[in-house]
Amino acid sequence: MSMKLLPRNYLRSSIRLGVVLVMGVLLLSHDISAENGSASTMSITCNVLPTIQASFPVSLHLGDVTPNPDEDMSYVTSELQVVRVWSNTKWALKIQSDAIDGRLKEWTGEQYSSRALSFPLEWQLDKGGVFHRVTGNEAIVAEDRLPTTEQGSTVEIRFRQQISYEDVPLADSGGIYRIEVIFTAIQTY
Amino acid sequence: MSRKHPFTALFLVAIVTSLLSLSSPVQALPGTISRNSIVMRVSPTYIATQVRDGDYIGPITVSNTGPVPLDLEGVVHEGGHNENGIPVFPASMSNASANGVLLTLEPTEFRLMPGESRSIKVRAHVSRGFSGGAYPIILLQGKPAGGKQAEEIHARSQVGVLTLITVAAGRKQEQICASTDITSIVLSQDPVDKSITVSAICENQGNIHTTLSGTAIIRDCLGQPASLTQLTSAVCLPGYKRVITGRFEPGNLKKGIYVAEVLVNAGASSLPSIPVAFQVTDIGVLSLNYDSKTHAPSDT
Repeated sequence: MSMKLLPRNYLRSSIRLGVVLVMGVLLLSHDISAENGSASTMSITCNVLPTIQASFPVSLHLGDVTPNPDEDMSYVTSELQVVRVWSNTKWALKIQSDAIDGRLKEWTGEQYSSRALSFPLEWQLDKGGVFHRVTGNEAIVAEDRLPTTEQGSTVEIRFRQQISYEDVPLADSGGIYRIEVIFTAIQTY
Repeated sequence: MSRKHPFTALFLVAIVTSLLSLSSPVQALPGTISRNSIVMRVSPTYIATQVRDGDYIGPITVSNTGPVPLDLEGVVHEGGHNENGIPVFPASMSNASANGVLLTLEPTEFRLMPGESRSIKVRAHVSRGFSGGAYPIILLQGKPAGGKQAEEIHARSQVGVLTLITVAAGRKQEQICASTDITSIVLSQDPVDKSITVSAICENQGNIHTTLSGTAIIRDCLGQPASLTQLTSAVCLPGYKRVITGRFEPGNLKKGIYVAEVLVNAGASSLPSIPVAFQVTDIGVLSLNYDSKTHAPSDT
C-alpha cells in the first residue's frame, strides 16, 4: 500500500484553518460564558420632581405723590414690576394684599395705624388692559401657564395709586403709607 | 495704535464692553435676576401619597437662589381648586384639621442665606376614623431677612406645594370613591380660526380625588363620526367642579347639523355621555349653542 504525500501548501492551509477554527470556538465559548453569568446589567433611573423657582420684586417706592383736582392727574403709576417663574409643570400666579380693602395704611415702623389712603391700590397686567383693585382676596394674575424653558416666563405688573386731597400727609409723624402685596406662584391641579 | 499695541486695544474694548453691560438695568436682561428680588426654589411642588397617622411625607426642599438672605415660614391651608384647576385656599389649617388630615412642618420658620437650601419634614396627623382624600396646600413664604421695609409697597412672596393625600379605610364597610357627574357641556367657537372647543364641567361628589379624561366626538346627522379629539386630562378634588376641554381643528366640518358627544372617564369608570346638537353654517360658523340640560338652543 503506497502512501501519497500531501502537498506542503495543503498542509499549511489546513493548519491555518485549524488555528482559525480553534480561535473561533474559544471566542464563542467566551461570549457564551459571559452571557451566562460573568456580565451584569445596571439599570439607571431617576425621578424628576415638580419644581417651581420664582423671582419676586421685594418692594416698591412710589415716591413723593401729590393730589390733583384733575382725576386723571391724581394717579401715581409705577414702573413695570417683573415676576419671573421657572417651572416644569403648569403654573399660576396670584396676588392679594394684607389689607382686605387694598388701601395703604399709615406705617409707624412697627405697625399699622387706622389712618389709610382714600383709594385702594390697583394693579394692571402688562402694558395695557384694565386696572384691578388689590384686595385681601386672591386674584389670579396668570393662569394655566405652560412649563417654562431655562429662561423662565415673566409676568409684568404695573401698580397705580390715586391720591386725594383727603389723604393726610404724614411728614410730621415720620411715618409712611404702606401695604404688603403677596404674590403666590403655584402649580395647578 | 491698534497695530502697535494690539493687546491695549483689546483691553480697552473689553473694559468698555464690561462697563456697558454693568450700566444696563439687570431686570431688562432675559433670564437674569434683579438684585432687588426674592428668589426661591421649591421642590417638589406636588405630592401625591398615601399616609397613616404620624407618617412623614416629602421632604420639601427650599432653596434661596437669589442675592438676599431670606426669612422663610411655612403655613398650611386647606386646599381646593376652581373650575380651571387653579388652587384656592378656602381656610387655614392652623388650629384644627377640617378634613381629617393635619400637616405639621419641621421647621416652620428658618433663615436661608443666598445659595443655601433646607429640607422641610412634613408630618401627617390623621384624625381617628378618617378615611378618604385630604388636600392641604403648603405655602412657603419668603421675605428679606430681618429687614424693615420702608417702601410703600412691600412684597411678600410665596410658593405653594399641593398635596393629594389618601388615607385608606380602616374598616371594610367604609368606601373610598370618587362620585363624578357631568353637570353641563358648553360648545364655543374661536371667532378667528373657527376651531370648536367643547367643555365638560364635571363635579366630584365622592370622598377622594379623581383624574378626568376622555374623548369628544362630533357626528354628522347620519351618526357618522366627523371629527374626534382627546379631552385634556385633569384632576378633580372631592367637593369641587372641574372643566375639561377638547378642541376640534377648524375646517373639518361642512355646513350641516351635528351632534357633539363627550365621553368622560373618571378614573376607571365612564360617565354617562351627554350629546349636544349644533349647526354649522355655510361659512363655517357655529350658529347654535345648546344648553346641555334642556338641549334647547340659545344664542351664541
